[in-house]
Amino acid sequence: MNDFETIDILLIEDNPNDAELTVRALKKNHLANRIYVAEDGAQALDILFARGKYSSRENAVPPKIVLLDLKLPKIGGLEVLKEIKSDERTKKVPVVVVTSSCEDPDIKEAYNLGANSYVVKPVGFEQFFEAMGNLGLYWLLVNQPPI
Amino acid sequence: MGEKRRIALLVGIMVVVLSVVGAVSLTMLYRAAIQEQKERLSEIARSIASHYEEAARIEGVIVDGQLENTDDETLHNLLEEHTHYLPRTETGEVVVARREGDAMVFLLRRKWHEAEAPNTLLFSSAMAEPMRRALSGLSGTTVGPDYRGVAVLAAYEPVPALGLGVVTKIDLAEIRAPFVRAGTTAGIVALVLAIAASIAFLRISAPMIRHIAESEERLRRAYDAAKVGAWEWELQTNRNTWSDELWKLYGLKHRNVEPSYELWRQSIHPEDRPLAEAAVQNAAKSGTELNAEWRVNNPAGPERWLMSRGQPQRDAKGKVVRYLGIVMDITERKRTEYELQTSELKYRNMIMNLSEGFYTATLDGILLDHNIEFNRILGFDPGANLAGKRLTNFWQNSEDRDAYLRQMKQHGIVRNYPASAKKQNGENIFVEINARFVKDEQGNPVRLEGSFIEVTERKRAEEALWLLSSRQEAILDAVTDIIMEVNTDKVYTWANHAGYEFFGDDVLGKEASLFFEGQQDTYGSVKPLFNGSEDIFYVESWQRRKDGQRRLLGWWCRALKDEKGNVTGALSSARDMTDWRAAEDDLKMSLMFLDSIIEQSPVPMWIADESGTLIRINKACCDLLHVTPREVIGKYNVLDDNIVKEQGHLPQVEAVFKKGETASFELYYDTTKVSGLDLQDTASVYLDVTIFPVRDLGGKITNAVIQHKDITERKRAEEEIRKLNEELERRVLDRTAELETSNKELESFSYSVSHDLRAPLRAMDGFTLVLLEDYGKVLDDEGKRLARVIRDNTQRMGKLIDDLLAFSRVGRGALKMGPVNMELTAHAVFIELTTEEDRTRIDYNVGNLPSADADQTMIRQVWTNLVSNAVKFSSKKDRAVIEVDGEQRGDQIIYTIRDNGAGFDMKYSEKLFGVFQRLHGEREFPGTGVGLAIVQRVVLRHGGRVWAESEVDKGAVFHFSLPKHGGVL
Repeated sequence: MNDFETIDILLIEDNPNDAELTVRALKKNHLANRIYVAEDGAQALDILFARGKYSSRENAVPPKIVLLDLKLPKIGGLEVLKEIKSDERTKKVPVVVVTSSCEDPDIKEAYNLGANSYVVKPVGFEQFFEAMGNLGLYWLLVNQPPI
Repeated sequence: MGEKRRIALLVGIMVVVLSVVGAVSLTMLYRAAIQEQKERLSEIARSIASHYEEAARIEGVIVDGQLENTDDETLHNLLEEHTHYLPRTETGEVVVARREGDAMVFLLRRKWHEAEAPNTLLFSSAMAEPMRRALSGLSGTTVGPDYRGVAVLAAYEPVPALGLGVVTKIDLAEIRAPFVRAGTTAGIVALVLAIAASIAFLRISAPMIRHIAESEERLRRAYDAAKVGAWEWELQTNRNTWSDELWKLYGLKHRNVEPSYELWRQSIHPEDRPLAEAAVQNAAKSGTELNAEWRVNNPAGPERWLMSRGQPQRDAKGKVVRYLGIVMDITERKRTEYELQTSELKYRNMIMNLSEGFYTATLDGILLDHNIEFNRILGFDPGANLAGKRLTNFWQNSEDRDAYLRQMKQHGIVRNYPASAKKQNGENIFVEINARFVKDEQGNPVRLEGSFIEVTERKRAEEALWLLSSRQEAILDAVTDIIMEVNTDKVYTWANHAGYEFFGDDVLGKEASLFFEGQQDTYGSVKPLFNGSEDIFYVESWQRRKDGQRRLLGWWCRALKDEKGNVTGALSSARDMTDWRAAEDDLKMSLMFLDSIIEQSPVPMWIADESGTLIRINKACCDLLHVTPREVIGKYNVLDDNIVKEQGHLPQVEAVFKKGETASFELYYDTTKVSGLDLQDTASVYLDVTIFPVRDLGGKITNAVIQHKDITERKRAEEEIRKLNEELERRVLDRTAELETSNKELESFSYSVSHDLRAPLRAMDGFTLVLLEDYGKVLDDEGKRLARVIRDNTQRMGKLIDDLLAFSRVGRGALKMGPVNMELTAHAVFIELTTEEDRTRIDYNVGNLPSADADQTMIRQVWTNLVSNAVKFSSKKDRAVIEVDGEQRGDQIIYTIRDNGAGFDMKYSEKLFGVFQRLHGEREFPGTGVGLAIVQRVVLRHGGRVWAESEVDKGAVFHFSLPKHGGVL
């Protein structure tokens, strides 16, 4: 996971359990080639915009998809989303909001900010796997990026 | 013998007249005959002459103007044709002659029957005058001697061409002869006739003459018998002839003297002589009828009056030659006349001086005579003669006159006929007329006689009196008060209309006490009136009215006294006081009542007079303002109140007194600040003041009522409330802020729950799964089972959290109301909730579900929960039956979901809709116990209701109702 040069999937998730399970789910769906997990918003933005200790990624291509948890320490998911969508370099990167509840009022806000989709993290892991698998497949394989 | 002479003379005259007439007529006839002969002769002569000339020219007798053939024969022939023209007389002939030198040669004489040979005469001869004229070239007619020297009537005509003369002639004697014969005959006939007529006349006239004489005699005797003297007076001779009786009448002896004018004159009473003589002389002079009256000159004897009448006798020339007359003794008549005259004079004097206007008039109403009073009444000069004026002029109006005339026509008389008359100056007076027609012997009215008196004064007095009495009567009757008169026996003797109305029509003659009601001493009371010590007296007494009602009468009694001052009775006027007394009592009562109300009223009030001064104040008001009536009555004036002025209410208060408006305002009243009053105590209150005007019956504002309401407490309370409100408002703001905070907290709590509680669960479930996947081989069956237990519980926990969030969500947020198709929803929900396999097992029957206004999403949740329950609890049945139905009841629609599942025990039904309340074990039927709680919350929010019926193992029925047109709590 040290290779920052190319990241297919950037998972921004503070909960390590969730992150692990998500990665596992993606892997189970054979989508975990180049997954990078950012634990908070600040790290995610640093990675995306090659800032701080990720400045070496300066010329790296943006990830093919960003899975964004909205509840993040330091910099919130919505702020991260805003940054992504307001920067020329990253604004075309599909951002899938991952949330614990469909009740989340931030979902609406996330769509306003340019989120491409969202997925609820169910309690049942089978469903979670399925959801993640479908998600990755769709965005990585089916949905051709605009470039 | 005179008569016979006259007759002879008459006969003579007759003969002469006849003779003259005969002679004249004969002469005229003769002249006419001569004239006729002349014309005929000259016509013949002219004709013969012209004939000769013509014939001679034709037959050539004349050649070169010379007579060639003068043959007699030719001439004779010429003459022949015209002989018939000759008069058929004895002597008529035509002679033709020719002048030969100095001689006239008669050629032809043609008589009617014979012609003789002509002879010759000298032209200068005196005879043959006509022929000479003819031969001289003349023509005409003449009477003259012919050739024989006999007088003839001839016509001569020359025939110049032949130198002849033609004469036609006839002897005068022949013409005269018939006339001489006729004259002689007529003379003889006239004579004979005259003689015959005279003899006949004498024969006839003799008895007539005798008869006349006899008549005369008889007349004289009649005159004598009637003591009528006859006289005859020859004017020329002054000869008088007096009858015997006349002598007697004149008182003369006639044998001695001849009657004469002088004798007559002397027989007249000297006093009457000039008049009588004048009458006679005048008559004689003018030739008129003689008419004279005189007294006989009889100094010793009684007075005797004579009357003479004479008729003039005229001669043939119309000259009066004599008078024939009679004389009568008219003493008796004269006396009667005198007496009549005297009485007439008396009568006239009487009438003239009568105190009534008297008049006579023609039937046409033209005034003939009238007396002085007539003039006086009608305003004329007493001496004025109004005769000839029309009575119509004196009538004031035609209606009176017409009625009067009708009456006169009908009855011939009017008596005391009242009328308006017009005085000369036009003034109107009233008269009373008596009039009648004066009739002749046959009873035909000949004139009108009337008298009248002026009654103007009387009439005015009568009218005034009538007016007065009728007015008094009317007044007394119009008076609503009872007026009664009693005599000293207290018996009613007179009553006015009101009196009769009260006591009845038969009240007169009844004693007053008859009408008394109850015990009373009215008689005792009025004693002073009757014993003369009081003149006017007032007494009240209960009396019985004619309808039997008991009425209180107030009597004013006045004593009636005769001229000596003795009381003769009393005149009393009474007024029915019953109602008035009752009204008075009522008034007193109501005043007391009112006063009591005012005084006792808990409403503080006082009353002002029209100037605003306090005149009455009640206890409540005194208490309120801490004043005593004495301190304020008459002293306080609301229009002068400085507090009212300071607080700006004076215009309102003034409007009450000036315009009658009602004033209402609040006033803070501190009695210590009132100027002009000396008050012991003080008060300060908030007052709600109402002032309204009181008007009298005429609408004038006489008082004002001022009501106070103590609003001090209210003011205080209002102040309190105001403060409390402020406090409350602040608190509300605080609370709202708190609430907002807590809401936000709640939201973030919910969010936390959904995120943070679920994360560990996900981890637990996820890693247990990882454990099973990665280490399944090292776990025995029990280990695997335990791992599954962990997963079940974590998933269940997740479900709990989801439901809880859903439950909290349905309590929040606004409802989006709209029509919801319930049938569609019920079907869709069932399809969603079941697998195909489920659906083969379940009979899902949806009946008629009325639509309703609701929030689509939430109602769908309700259906989901209820249908999923039904499916769940009937899942153990081999054949599950779920029936969905709906019906409208009033404005509510009730939906029913019925299953044949496990059902529940109704004793726990209260818990059915509680959150997390479950009636079945998790193992039996899994669930969180939130579904029905959500159902209840949604239905309640829609204004509906949810309830259930069930029995264990008999299935369950759930009902929920919704308002048809939506109703949001």
